Amino acid sequence: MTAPETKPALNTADIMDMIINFHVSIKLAKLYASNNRQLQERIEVLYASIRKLQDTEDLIQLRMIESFIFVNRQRLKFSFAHYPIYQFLLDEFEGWQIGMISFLAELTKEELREFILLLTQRDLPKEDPYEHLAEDFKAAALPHIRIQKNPTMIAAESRDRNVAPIYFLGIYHLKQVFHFEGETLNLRVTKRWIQTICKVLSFDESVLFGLTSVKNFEDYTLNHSTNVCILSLALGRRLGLSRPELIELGISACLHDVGKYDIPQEILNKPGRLDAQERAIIEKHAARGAMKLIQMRAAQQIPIAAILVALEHHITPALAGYPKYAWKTQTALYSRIVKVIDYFDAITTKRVYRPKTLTPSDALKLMIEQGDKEFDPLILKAFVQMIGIYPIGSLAILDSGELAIVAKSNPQAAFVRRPAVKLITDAQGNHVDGPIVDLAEMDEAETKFKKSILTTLDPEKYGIRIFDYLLAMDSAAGAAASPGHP
Amino acid sequence: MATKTSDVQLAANPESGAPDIKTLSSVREILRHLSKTVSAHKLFPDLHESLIQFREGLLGLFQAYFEDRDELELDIEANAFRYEGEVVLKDDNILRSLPHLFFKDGMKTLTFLKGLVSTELDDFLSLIKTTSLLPLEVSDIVDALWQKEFEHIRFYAPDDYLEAQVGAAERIPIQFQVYKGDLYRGRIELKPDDVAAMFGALRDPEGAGPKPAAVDAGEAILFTGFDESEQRRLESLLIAERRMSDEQESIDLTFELLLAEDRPEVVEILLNILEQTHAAALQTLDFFKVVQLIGKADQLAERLEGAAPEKVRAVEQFRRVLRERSPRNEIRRAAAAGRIPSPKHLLDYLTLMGPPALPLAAELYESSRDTEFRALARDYFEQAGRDNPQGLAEQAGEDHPFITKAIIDVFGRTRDPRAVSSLIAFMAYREKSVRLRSIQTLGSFDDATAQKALWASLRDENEEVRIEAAAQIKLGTDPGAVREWIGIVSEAAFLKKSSAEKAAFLQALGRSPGEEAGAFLRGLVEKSSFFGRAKLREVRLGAVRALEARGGTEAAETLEAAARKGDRKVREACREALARLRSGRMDSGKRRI
Repeated sequence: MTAPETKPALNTADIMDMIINFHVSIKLAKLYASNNRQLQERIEVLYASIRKLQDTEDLIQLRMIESFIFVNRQRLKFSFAHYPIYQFLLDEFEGWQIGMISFLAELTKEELREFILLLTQRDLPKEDPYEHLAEDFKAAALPHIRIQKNPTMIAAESRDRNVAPIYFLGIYHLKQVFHFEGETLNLRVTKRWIQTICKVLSFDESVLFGLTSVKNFEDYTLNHSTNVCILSLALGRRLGLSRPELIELGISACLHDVGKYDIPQEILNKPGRLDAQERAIIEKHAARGAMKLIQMRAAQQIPIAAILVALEHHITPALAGYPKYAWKTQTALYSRIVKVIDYFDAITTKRVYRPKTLTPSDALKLMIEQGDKEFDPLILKAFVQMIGIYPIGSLAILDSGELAIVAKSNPQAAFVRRPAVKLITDAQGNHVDGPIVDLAEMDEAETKFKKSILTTLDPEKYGIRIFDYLLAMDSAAGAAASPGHP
Repeated sequence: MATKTSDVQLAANPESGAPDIKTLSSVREILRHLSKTVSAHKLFPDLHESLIQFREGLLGLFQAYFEDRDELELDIEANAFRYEGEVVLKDDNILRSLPHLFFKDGMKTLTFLKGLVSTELDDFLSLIKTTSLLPLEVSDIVDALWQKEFEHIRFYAPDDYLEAQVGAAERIPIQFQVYKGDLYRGRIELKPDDVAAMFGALRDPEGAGPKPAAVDAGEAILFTGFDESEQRRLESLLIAERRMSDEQESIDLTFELLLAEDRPEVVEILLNILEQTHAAALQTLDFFKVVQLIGKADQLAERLEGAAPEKVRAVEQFRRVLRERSPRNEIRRAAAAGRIPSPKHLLDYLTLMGPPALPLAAELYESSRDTEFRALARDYFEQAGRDNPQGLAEQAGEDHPFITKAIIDVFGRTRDPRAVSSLIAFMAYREKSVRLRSIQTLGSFDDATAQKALWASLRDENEEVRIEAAAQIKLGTDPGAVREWIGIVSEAAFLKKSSAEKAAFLQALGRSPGEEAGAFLRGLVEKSSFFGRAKLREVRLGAVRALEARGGTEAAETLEAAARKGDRKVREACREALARLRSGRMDSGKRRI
């Protein structure tokens, strides 16, 4: 299948054009009837973009390999702006169990139209969807289109796993790391855990995002570092970091607060305001953490990025904050990422010194208000778009009077206020094990949205443990819940 | 079980049950060859012929297998690979066993896909080699494969491996079960403030009402995708991150920490790290880094006002160490072998080292044939010369003509009066080119001592030197000097000089604005004699050129008169000189011989 070396490469802009058109065509075909004019026009545009690519190579192949999309030999460059498109297509390919779609040189518009409708017009069963699709495809007899099933490898990496154990493994592992007293820290297990998190994120971010609503498990710093790591990895993926870079970012995020273990507990957990001396001690944790990592760096497993993040995660883009820099003129990218996420997780965690814990959506509002005074504006924007203005795990009241928990954010920027939510009460406030509802759905007449969030609530006021609901959702989606560990 | 993927348009093949013997044999052959290739990879360098043959052979076997199959999936056991349930490779020697290499890190399946190319296979083999050479506690083939993101090689390593690694001792029972019966029981009564918020939101759906402008603007921005400039900025952040040099960051970071840190034991650790970095940089002659370290150390010292005395002392000691270490012999050897990584940074380093580095710089200049280095070094010497001309002059020597001439050039540029005595001393050097250069340079000084010294060179054994001295002497309007000069020109011995030398002496009179010099030149032009005609002609011709250089009415009148009579060549010369004078095209200063 490897094309001869001498063929020129497909134009990247043309490839993106085709991908976007394919994405829009699929979306429209799912929303509208087959004779819808907008859909027809979009398929024409898609056809034109495929033909344009065929000016360079007769055979155009879309392949999904793990979490990447290839067009012929070229892997699509992952970028933040196109992340929703990629994720949508990856999800669709996965749902169809298709590994490759080939468009041959003599492809016609009619064939393409038939194919798009075939992919979208009927609900495929969850069990062996490809077999059903293949039957329909055979019957449709489209001579210039080929499909191939996805190799079985991905099926072995079950998307239906329970994610919660992986999350808590991270906390336990960090406990070993933070209490390490030797000279050469072995990060082998940390890297494996990060790898697993990345794999889970590539299947479905929602569950992990929901799990980051767990706070103060075992120890604040351990739980907090785990949450910061997960969210940093999710953001890093969207920003297009490579796998080695994600490993570095993950390690950096895990270890960013290691300096806190040198701070006396009575100061860390002091209920009231800190005096100047106590504040100065707290502020030392950044430099202390960096120093600790430098000393551990002897085995050269700790990336320099981790030391930078430990030192810089309280420094603003304008170099305010602490510690004060004398020479460096800007903070590193990973430091900016961790700063945003560290802040978010910290202010949404109950602490003795914090009279009011902010809900995730209130936290985001506060961070938006602070803007580029405190955060890199692009990183903040990327983060908010990633978790949505109503992050997963937010408790919300709908205009129907029902209470719901946000289960999945909407990837489209225009629908950032319209996530998918799980209903947990009826309109009278009675607890129910309700369905998951997409707030982007409109009524039959397509005039208004079926349900909307009015406001978010503080779950602690009602003794609601969000994690329990998310765990129940995770368990329902996956295999049977695992028993407690021995 | 590996199943064949099927292209719907092709005739479907029946799904196979147990693998046929031919396929098994093919797989076994591939794995035997893979094992041998892995061993060869450890023994031979990358471009060794034997290794290339092994790799090509292996790729050929894979390609033959993939002719009518799409994947080769292997199940991994402790010491064996299985293909569709059958053992295809077994090796109980865990030190070299390929299956064990993958098994120990929790891998359960390894799959090669159709389309596997030689570069991927090479990378895969290199990865195995690198991983197998690492200590056990560090090596992880699963992590290495995952980071590499091979297009046609997949693997499966389940999470239970991770669980086992975290350690049983740390695990505390966690209840992962949630009883839905308990969860979805009862009723939730909203608190009054939440009810109020709910009704407020009902009146103002989606917060469309007034809110702080910053929040409004912020939210609006967040609802839109990234525009082009934001995309570009994100890209540039990524690029900057990828370009970041670990070593450079490490240095910057350590200095920042030093500034922030008060604990003496930690300060010591950080200074040790920097000292080691400095030593390593000196060893590799990385003077960029060395200069950075010294420079930053100086800046650090400046910022220590109010710091603990112990810290101040430690930093001072550190600075001393950085300056005391100087790998002179290594530098000499590297320079001789043409292996100085960066001449510019070496010179920056020598600048930082101050005057003690000057002799080494001079030595390097003398022995170097590197034009880039010499050009940069001249700037270095110029700076050194401005600070301490005597120190610079001491680097010159009879046996070091190149550096001596460079020093003379420096003095010529700086025109430092303190350099005159050195230039005069250079005029006595054996090497003619040195004497010439120093005479030229002295001539550019507006200094009586310099001028006086030049007269001594009029008696130099070398004509070129004498000519140059004559060219540089400024008689000015000093009547004594002019008369003495006229005396020299009037001597019988003058006629024995070469025409070039005569011309040079006469030009000096031409340059003198005094009347006596002018009158003498006019007299020379008018002179005629039957005796010693050729020699006199040379003198007269020289005088013509000198008069032309003087210019003016009297010179023109003399030339006009001489153009009408006497020696033909002199007449011609006078006419030409007149023509140039009248047209203003006189090419003053140009000597014609």
